[in-house]
Amino acid sequence: MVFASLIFLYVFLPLNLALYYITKKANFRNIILTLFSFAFYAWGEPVWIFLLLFSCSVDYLNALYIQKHKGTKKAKIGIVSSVIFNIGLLVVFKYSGFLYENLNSLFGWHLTAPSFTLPIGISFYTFQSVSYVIDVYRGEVPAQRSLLKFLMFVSLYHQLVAGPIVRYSHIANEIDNRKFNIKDISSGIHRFCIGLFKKVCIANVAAEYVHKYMDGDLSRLSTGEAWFGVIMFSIQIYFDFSGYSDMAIGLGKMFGFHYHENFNYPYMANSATDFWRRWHISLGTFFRDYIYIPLGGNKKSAIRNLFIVWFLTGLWHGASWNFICWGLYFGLLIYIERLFLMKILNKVKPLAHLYLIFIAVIGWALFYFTDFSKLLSYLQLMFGQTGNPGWSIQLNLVLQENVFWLLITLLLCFPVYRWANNKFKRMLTRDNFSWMWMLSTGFNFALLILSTAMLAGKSYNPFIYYRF
Amino acid sequence: MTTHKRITARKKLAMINTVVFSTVLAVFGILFFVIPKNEVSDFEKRKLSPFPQFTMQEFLHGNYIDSIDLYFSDNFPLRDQLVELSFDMKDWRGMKNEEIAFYNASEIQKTPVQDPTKPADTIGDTAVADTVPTGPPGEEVNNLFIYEGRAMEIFGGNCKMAESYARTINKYQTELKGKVQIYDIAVPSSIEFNAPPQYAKQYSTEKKNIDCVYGALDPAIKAVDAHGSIGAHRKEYVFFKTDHHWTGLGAYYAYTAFCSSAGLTPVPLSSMEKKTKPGYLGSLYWLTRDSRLKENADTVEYWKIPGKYTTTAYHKGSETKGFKSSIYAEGASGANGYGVFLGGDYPLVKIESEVKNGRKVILVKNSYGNPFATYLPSHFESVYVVDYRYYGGSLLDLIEKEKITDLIFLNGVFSINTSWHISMVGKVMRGVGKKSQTTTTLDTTKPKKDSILDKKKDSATSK
Repeated sequence: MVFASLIFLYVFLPLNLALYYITKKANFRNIILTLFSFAFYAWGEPVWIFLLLFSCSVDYLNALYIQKHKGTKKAKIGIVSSVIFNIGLLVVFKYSGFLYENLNSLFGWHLTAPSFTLPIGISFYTFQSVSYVIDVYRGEVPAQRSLLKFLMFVSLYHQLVAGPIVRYSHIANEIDNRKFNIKDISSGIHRFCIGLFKKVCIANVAAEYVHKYMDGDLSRLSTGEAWFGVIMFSIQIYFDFSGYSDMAIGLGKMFGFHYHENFNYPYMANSATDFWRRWHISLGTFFRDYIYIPLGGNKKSAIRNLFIVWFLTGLWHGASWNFICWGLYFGLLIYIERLFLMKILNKVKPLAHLYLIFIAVIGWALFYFTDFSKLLSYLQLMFGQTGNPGWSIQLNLVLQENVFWLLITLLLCFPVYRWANNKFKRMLTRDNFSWMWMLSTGFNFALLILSTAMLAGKSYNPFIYYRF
Repeated sequence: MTTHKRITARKKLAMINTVVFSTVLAVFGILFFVIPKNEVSDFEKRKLSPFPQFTMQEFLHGNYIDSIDLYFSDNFPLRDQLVELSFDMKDWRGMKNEEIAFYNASEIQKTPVQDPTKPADTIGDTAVADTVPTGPPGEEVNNLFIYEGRAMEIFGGNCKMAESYARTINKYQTELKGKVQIYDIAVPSSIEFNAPPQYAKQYSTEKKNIDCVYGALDPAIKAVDAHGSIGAHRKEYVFFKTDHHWTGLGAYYAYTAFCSSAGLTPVPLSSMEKKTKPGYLGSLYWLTRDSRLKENADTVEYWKIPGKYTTTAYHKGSETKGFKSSIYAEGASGANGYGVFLGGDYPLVKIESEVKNGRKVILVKNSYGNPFATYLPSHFESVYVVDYRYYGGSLLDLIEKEKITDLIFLNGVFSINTSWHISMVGKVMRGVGKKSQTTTTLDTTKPKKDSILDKKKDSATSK
């Protein structure tokens, strides 16, 4: 199931909230949340739920085993087997096709890859449980004794399919002991509505233009349209992903969990280094804590470590070379920044910002095209190397027809909302309550209804001919 | 004191927020299960998704669940209003150019199952987006161009296709040589005459294409210069602004051109009774829901020919058992306005007149032919209007049986340049229904029209 669907919003979520809050028994609530999470997962992927359960059980037992044999060789065996198991899952289910393909072309073999459909969310939940097992091994958190609670942690539908990668240590307390807080619920609702709006009213709209310009016939595209297409993709991926994170964080709050932030206005960054401190934070910190630092961090073979991390970051995003190149592209930029560029960038902040936007947008082109020849023609088009026209009247119309939407989108890349919300909170008193509540509730309501309309609009599918 | 005040105010606000949000979710959710469901969406000209039947295989592939999602969104409470709001929102996104707009076919017609932005597609788990075919061949939406409140399909045919269409007609000539006079009428579309001057060179290319058709026709076939006669009246109301068809008047000028080819004297407009139906929003409006078109609603004009006629229409699969119909379905309304001509697209309509001249005609057409057909009964003993897309019988049999003297093929340039249409025009010669039912694709492309016909007695369906 996906958050941005009518059935989730108007059946699944209210039912889940009602059944969850119908009782005060913690155990019952955990059961409800776990069952709903399974239903959420199985909605699109009825088969892969078993893989999820299997993976959970292995890590659950492993953590207990590690804790029992703390400090001994056996604990080491536990941790190694857990890491191998989780990476193995990823290799088999996510990377086997890619691996076979490369082996075939490298050695001239003719292996046929197993044709799995990718189990949704596998990249997220394997990382969550492996980080949990490592944390137990390191003694940072005690192992979870209750299988139910562990299942709940891994399968929580808030973050199961699209992150953020929630660390067990961050919510360990809340897994065992959540408190009801109406202000949390309300701010969760608020956050959820914002995320929904970002996904449905911004990312989905941008996606239409991405499809139109980046998937279409390149020979008919102007340079301006090529740039517009890839900028739309930069908007789509940011609002899609951060919108999902907002919804996850909001849902968490509705049920008493506090997940860490996953985005911090990445397009405000001044360098590639800065960008990755603000983009998909939970992934960056995962690689930092579980790969980069254990490898030796800045102290031992820093350059090697850097490129290993960026190779893996790229690979994590998908089983294709372009993702690896995209990861290494950022690795290289960060390396250059470390060498000398950062000093220059720090002196010319506005230029530094332009530099970041430029490299991020080029990066997204790299990210978008899994086919290198297509990427190459697209880049040639972007840099006017094809003889296509530079601009088109259609693009003028598109810009004109979307001018307000573009302005709002641009504005939302900056923390305007945070500023407005703080101002709102400071202004709110009992005296002006009568209209302040309307403002706040009306805001949520408007976001919800606009998003609902867009979702309903997506089902509008007209035909020229009657077809019954 | 103020801090305390603020805390309680915030708490109260939180409670109101929570209650309002949960209520909205619950109310829509409950309404969905309570309200009666529509079967058909008239605006979209399609059946709304029904609740799927469970099969284990479909379930394991996830298709069953996808169908439930579709069922839910197609039958969501206040769906029409919400869809309307979503199109309003499109207007709010910026400033519309009052003069010009472009629509890509892919923007207009979405594939219903596809969600291009499932989270897993773009983040982490990059999966290949599943593409669902848009529909049957030959019935795709074309790119659109809106200029001064008039929607036009952008023509993109080529000479090769046009010639292939001509060769299909030639096969009839080979078959019927000496027995029947064949006519071909290739009808241009709106953009040919209404594209603004700066686009005319790029977009108005239909004349060339029609010349390709006529150049490749057997010389014994009479090519009717509809382009010339409509073009001579281009400033008149010959094409709808919001629909992809021509108007009754446009069809009239093609009819006068036909008359001069066939040696007939056209009935002057002045001796017919003119009727109008204002406020018609046609297919191109419902495809785009563009507000510039809404402000330019069309008027369906039709002219009733003098004389008395008996009209019989036949449903698909029952070509022997007809029912009483009419040349003009005067009750046609709403999105069905164009259905006033013949009552829409029946596989076969038979019109008998009081004329006694020994001439009987078959008009082979799709919906473009409907207004044209209404003028023919003044000149023939019987007029058989065959929709090649739905007619299951054999034209050769019909010609033989009814002693047909004249055979007209009428098609718009878009259909002429679509291989599906060309092949259907060819197949109706010997009949598709008779030979075999093997072409399963055909069956799915044919609307099962009875359901809507039963509901709306006289408005019927239009293309």
